[in-house]
Amino acid sequence: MKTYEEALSEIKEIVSALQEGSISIDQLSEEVGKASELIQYCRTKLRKTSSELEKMFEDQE
Amino acid sequence: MQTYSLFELNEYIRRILALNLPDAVWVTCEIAQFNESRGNYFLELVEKSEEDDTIIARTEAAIWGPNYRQLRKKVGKKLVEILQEGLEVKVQVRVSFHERYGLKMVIEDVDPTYTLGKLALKRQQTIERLEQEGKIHLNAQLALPIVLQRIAVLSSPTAAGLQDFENQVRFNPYHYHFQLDLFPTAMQGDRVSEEMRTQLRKITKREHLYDAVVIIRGGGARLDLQAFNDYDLCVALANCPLPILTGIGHDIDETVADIVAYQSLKTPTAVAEYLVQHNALFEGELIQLGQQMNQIAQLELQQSTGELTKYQQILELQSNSLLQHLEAEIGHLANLLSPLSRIKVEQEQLSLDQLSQVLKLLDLDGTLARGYSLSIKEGKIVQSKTELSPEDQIEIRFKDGSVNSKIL
Repeated sequence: MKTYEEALSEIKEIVSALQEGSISIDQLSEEVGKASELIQYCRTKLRKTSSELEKMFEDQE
Repeated sequence: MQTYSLFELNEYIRRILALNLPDAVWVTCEIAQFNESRGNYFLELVEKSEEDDTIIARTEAAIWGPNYRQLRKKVGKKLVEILQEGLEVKVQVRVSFHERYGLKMVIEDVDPTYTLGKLALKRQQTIERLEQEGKIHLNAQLALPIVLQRIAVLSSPTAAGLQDFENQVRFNPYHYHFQLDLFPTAMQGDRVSEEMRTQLRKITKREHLYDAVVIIRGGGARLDLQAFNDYDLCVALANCPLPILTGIGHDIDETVADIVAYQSLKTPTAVAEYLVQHNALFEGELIQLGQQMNQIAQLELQQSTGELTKYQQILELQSNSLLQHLEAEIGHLANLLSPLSRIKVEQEQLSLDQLSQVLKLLDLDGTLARGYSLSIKEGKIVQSKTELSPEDQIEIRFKDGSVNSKIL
């Protein structure tokens, strides 16, 4: 399992590679697909964290 | 020389005695033995040398029943207390001699003030001696343990006060637990001092097992207290490494043992109350400390709760803002991803288009289709006439095949 940080830095790498144009068309869909998956993963993680936090603060109040 | 018959001799002695001692006389002496038989009392009277306590005079005496009852009325309760083994007395005796029964001393009267005075004097001397030797307050200087629970009890199993003491201690209102170990000893008579000192030695050997020693004696005649004025006993009490509490059970007189003790109390019941109250005092302090601790803890808890709430709010705020930041970041990246990848695809498309155009231009078949032909010499396209010389064999390629030809 990747950490959020690892996932984020991988997304950033792909984006900057895209910006620099260093990704070949053969790799493009694979890389973009991977980045999309990672973005989904990060979003899920953020949502989960957010709802967990909400629950924690509710419990304490 | 005249010879007497025994009766004659004894009759002679009787007459001499009767003549010389016609009346009863007052005598001071010590009672060595005191026995009762069929309502009559038989005593052994002695006088001891002041120097070494050896007996220098000794005689037997009696108090007849009717006379004893008369004396009892006249002197009162004290009579019983005065007629005790070991006490010095002043008695009025009638000396008589009987031909058959020999010398007889009959006690007719007793002077109680003499005995009481002697005892008071002796008691005072004991106190002064203990003071001089620095022993009078020795036991009182000991530290009393904060809690008194393990008690060595010096008493007689038959002492009336012992039961009272034990009940009072065992069924105390606070339900404190006490360990009462009885060290049995005589509480009356002449064995008190010796037995009690033996038991004190035993207790001292087990000093670490006890918090205090109590002396319990219930009731009894006032003069029976003499044992507790004994010098040797009081020295032993003073030297005892454990604090001594006395409940000797008297109203007026204080014995020397009471003076020497850590704390003297009037009755065995009072000793029990003292023990229980002493512990209750400690428990009271504990309760108070507990309350103080509780107050402090409550205050501390309130402060901490406040602080925690503050941190919780900060935490909530910070984590929410962090989440927002991260979400924005991810959103931004996601937004970048799609146009960037589309651009890339478009770029590739574009270059592909250009390439295809170029390719179209370069396309050989297309050119041939349009009616052009191609000269090939030794597998290479002929691009200039200088490449050709007469007699050269070349291949001319058309859209529908090729022919071999020769340069003229």
